[in-house]
Amino acid sequence: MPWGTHFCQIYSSKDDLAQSLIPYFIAGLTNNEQCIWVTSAPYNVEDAAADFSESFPGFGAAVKEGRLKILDYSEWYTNAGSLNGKLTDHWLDEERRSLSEGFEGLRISGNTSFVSAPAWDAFMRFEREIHETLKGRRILALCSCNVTRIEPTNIFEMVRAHAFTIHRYNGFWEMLDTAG
Amino acid sequence: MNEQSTSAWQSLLANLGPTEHAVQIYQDDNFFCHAVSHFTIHGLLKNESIIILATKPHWQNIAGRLQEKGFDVEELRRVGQLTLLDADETLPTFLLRDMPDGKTFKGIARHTIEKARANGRYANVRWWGEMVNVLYVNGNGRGSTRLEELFDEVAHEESIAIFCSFLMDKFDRKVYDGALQNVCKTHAHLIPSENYSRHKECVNRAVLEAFRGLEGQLLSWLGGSKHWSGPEMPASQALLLWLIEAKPQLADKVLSLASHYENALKQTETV
Repeated sequence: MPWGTHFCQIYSSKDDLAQSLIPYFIAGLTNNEQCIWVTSAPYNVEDAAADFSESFPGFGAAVKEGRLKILDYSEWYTNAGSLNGKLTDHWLDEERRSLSEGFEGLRISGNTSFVSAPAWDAFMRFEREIHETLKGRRILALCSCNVTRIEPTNIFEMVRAHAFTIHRYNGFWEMLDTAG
Repeated sequence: MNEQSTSAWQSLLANLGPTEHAVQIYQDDNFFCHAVSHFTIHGLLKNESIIILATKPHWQNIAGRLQEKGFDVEELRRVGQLTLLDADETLPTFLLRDMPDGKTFKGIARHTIEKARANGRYANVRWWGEMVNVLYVNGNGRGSTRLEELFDEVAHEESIAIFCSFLMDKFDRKVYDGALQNVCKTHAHLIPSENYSRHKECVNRAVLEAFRGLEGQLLSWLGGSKHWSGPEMPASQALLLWLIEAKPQLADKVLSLASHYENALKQTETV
């Protein structure tokens, strides 16, 4: 996947997240990328870390060396600022820091389940802004959207604010965008 | 109506800049006149010159709202910051066999804008008019669309902000047979409702109901919207326009359900 790709996954269970995000970050660690996973319900930090360590023998070392960070959204929010703040700048700072520390680039993921209804419009402004900002940067970003909690208009907006969208159907991840 | 649900369109109209062309579709005169007076008041507060091309009954309503907010309408007209033209009287001056004559219309528009600038006293000009709507409600859709195209050209050529209003029901299937799509082609911003959060709730409930048992299809359908484009508008309205293109067989059901939910919510809000 080329650098600068900002894409979306529609999930319906914790298992969907485990089946996609752990391989996504293992690929990043294998490629010497700085990996930052921002979690929220239904997949909390403890569960994500436990599943990751079962799947990837180098998990402990990656965390210890700071190559992999698994953060709860509340912790990340505190560090990065609010949706109306400098969130995009925060990711660009992380990219600069990662490159200066010898990583190939930055691989990130965030789960949108923490976004409340009143904050949705601000969140979408952030998504559209970051979609443009990431073009040409050494950042890969995957946003996770819970189909059981999100409304049709929100999915409509998310699909249109990302390069492409995938969802799991009969056990396989499929692209949504080519469907009519 | 809560502040959050109205702030998006109010902010848009308050800050509409030169060359921008916005439109509202409305059903009740209260929302219609609220939006027009809001657009006017914010222009006046920015020391912009305002051109209003209204039918008589609508002007009375708008003028009343301006006066309620402390604006002396007669004084504003006297000093040239507010220009009032009668839509019913102005329309026939540039119609040729029911179609607007571009050269005559642009001549009138340029003269009016130049006068409104008052030798540079007002750097920016805002224009609200309902001639396009008069043509539309009288069944002259082609004339209305052509006049909108001319207005859009004038907005860019003269660098003015233009705001239009159309009497259309956003949940009426018939307006999606081309009329609303034509409106979208000539505007940069579409305001479909006075209350965006209510609009969103009604559309979401209607879509979920119409797609019950077809959830897989719903996702695929939404995924296909990636390359749909239109003017800036709330996602719930864009989704309806996408629905007409991609799932016309479900459009009647979704629009009828959305209309039903809106009426029910309005009744609840009234109680």
